[in-house]
Amino acid sequence: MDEAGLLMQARDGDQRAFAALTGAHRTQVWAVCLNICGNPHDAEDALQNTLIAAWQNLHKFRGEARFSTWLHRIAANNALMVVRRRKANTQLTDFTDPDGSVQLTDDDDGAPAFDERVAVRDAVHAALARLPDDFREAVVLREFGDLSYADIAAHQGIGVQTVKSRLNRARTQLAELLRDTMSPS
Amino acid sequence: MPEEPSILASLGFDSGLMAPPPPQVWEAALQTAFDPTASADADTVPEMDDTPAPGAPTHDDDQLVVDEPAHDAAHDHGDQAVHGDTVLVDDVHADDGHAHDGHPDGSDPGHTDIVPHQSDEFDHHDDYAHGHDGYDDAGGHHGL
Repeated sequence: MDEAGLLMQARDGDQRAFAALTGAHRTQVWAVCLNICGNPHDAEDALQNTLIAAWQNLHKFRGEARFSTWLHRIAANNALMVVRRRKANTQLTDFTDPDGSVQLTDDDDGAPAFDERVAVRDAVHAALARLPDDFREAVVLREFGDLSYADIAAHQGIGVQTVKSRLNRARTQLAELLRDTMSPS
Repeated sequence: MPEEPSILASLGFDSGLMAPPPPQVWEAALQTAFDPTASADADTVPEMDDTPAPGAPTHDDDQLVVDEPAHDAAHDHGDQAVHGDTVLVDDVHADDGHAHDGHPDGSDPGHTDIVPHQSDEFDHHDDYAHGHDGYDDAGGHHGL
């Protein structure tokens, strides 16, 4: 069944249809939550809130745009809420400790433990975490949510030109932060 | 799909950065969503009007909003300058293919839960007005 059909059924209360509808985008939704929140624990909270909000507010989605765009915007909003709540509730805690940002896992059997992809991913997470919230949100929605400039502009309440400016500046900052990590892929 | 390359790809990072959520995490989140007692913040749900408004601007990026009302967009081509609170970027000139009215994905140039300000210099979210020098305000950490 296509997405439109799943959406209709989900709106009628079909939980399996909703699971299938959202499941098709689980990787990107998770990426939005994780890369805005900066850590899996908060990302889980954001993901949970995202799916609750989407399920309870399906009636607000008219079905003429991409469902993924709508879902990713909800994810970004919820992820930012978690981030801001964390900032308000915690002491000055460095969640972006550069010494701790690269996770090196060791297998119990002593085999070579270095997972380069995990290390790179962690480095990107750490770099993203150093961006201002709105910069990070724009980058994440662009990179992982596949939102257009217009969608990001609408989401953030700014003009398209400002979106492009933010992305350009964010890119410059990320390049600097990831300078030691970047390597040809 | 957007025309411009991804930022991370341009920095040499591939799409492997996206990993699916752990299955138990996704399933647990779904089950919580179906819990009748669960509550969500409805403010996190955008009011997306997916129907493009007739006559809505299709090339927002062609309209350069600066402090000087008579400023001409053509003067900014090739420049990266700051006029008041607006940074003009020329390296991304073309729109991303989603900004046109009637695009199937229904990108909404102006009809959402948050009304985008056409005048960026008055946009209270503007980066320069908030002193976004590129680093997180709360963290205060600069560079690695």
